[in-house]
Amino acid sequence: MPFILSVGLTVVLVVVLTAAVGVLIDRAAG
Amino acid sequence: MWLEGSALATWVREAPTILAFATILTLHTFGMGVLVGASAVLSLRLLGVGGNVPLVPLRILFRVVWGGFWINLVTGTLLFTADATTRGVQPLYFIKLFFVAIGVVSVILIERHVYGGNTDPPVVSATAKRLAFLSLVAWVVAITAGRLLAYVR
Amino acid sequence: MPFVNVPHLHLLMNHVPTVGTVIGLGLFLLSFVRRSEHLRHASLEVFFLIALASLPVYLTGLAAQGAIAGSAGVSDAAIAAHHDRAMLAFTFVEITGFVAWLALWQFRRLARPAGWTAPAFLLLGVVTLALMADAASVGGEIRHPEIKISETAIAASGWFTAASVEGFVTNSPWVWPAAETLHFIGLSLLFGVLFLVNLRLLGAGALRSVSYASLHRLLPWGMLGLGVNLVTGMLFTIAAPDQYINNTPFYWKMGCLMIAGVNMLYLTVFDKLWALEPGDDAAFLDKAIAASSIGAWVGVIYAGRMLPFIGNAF
Repeated sequence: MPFILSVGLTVVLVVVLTAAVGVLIDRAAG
Repeated sequence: MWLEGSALATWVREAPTILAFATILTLHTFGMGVLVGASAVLSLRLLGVGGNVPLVPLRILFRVVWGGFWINLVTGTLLFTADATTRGVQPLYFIKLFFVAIGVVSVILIERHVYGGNTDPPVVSATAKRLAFLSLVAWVVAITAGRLLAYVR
Repeated sequence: MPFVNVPHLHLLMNHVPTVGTVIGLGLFLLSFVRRSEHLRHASLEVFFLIALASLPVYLTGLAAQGAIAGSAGVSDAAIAAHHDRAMLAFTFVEITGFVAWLALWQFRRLARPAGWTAPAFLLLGVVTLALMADAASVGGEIRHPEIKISETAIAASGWFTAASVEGFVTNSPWVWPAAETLHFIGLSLLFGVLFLVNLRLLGAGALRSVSYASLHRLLPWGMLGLGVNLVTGMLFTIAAPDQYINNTPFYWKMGCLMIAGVNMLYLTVFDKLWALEPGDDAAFLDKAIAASSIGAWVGVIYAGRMLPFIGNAF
């Protein structure tokens, strides 16, 4: 269970960070 | 049991040709790529972070999504038959299928909500945006569950 | 034609990241002196290509390491130190390359470039150059007795080392599956965006009524997918190099990736693509390029998925 949780949380974290960068880049483009 | 022992399942699992398990798995990967990819582009556009690509021509993406889905339904079934006794009782497997279902339903509902009114340009309601977000989440969870299946028995 | 093996390729290519960074930065600075926006764009494009080329340099380096580590007359400590410095320098050249790409993308969309990208590129570029030079000089330690530097120069390089990446992956069983999952998500995002853009160029159905400029705005999402895949991919190769350096499909994959990377630059900067208005059909050459781009990405995915089957990995 901790194994699945670690995988899941890591994936969520990286996806959220990547999405945040993507939104910032898109916003800056106006 | 009987499913795994069947001639087809045995061929998928054990045939010493690259056309069996390896190819089926590769097609499953391509199906995922186009299905999730097209769905993601659509969702990003609806959520307002994918520029102002006109929505009417983007309707072609639904065909891409369905193409990927059918490829994965067929390859997925073949992959399942090769390992039915293990997968058939695995909670993780049903979690994957559940989230695939959510993803598919959300895509269907998005098409209905955005294009169903046949307005030009189509209106993107708050519901459509929520569905777009839901579909992104569903595909991420489905892919995660799917990948974990290779590690959890 | 003499036999060329993969370690030999590393010797052929290993000055590309160092000399290339100098040329890229040099042209960028020259563009200010000459007040030439064309030159500025060209320098960013050159730098992007240098960042792209740095990947095969790194990978052939891994193969070279596999070939000579433990041999007589070769300093294993120098090899390890060189790898660690190269890993750091590589990280920076890729980040700088991404910023260069972003600047090129922004040039298209905004009348002027965004305020922070040019200074950021310059700063990152200078740091990259310093790190590359450091990595390169330690590399010389491996088998060039004529240029001995002091032993302290090749002492342990802190926490950002190949060994710590390997340790991280080995000690935490959740890392590899998480990285694979992210690799799949990244490929979906990347392929989704590029498939759509290339479909437009091919003139598929209703997409012909879309201007290229509106799709161009999606390219950063594709680059982010590529970025996630580059990071996770490097994690795999650094943690378990033996599974890749003797694996033929891995080299097909990298070859296809290089083609796809050049294509990405082409989609970002070429004027005649940007000029495609709704209803315009792309030129035959552009359609051919679009088709080969899809082919290159299909090749990357295919070779990647086939690594355990065709190759001798795992």
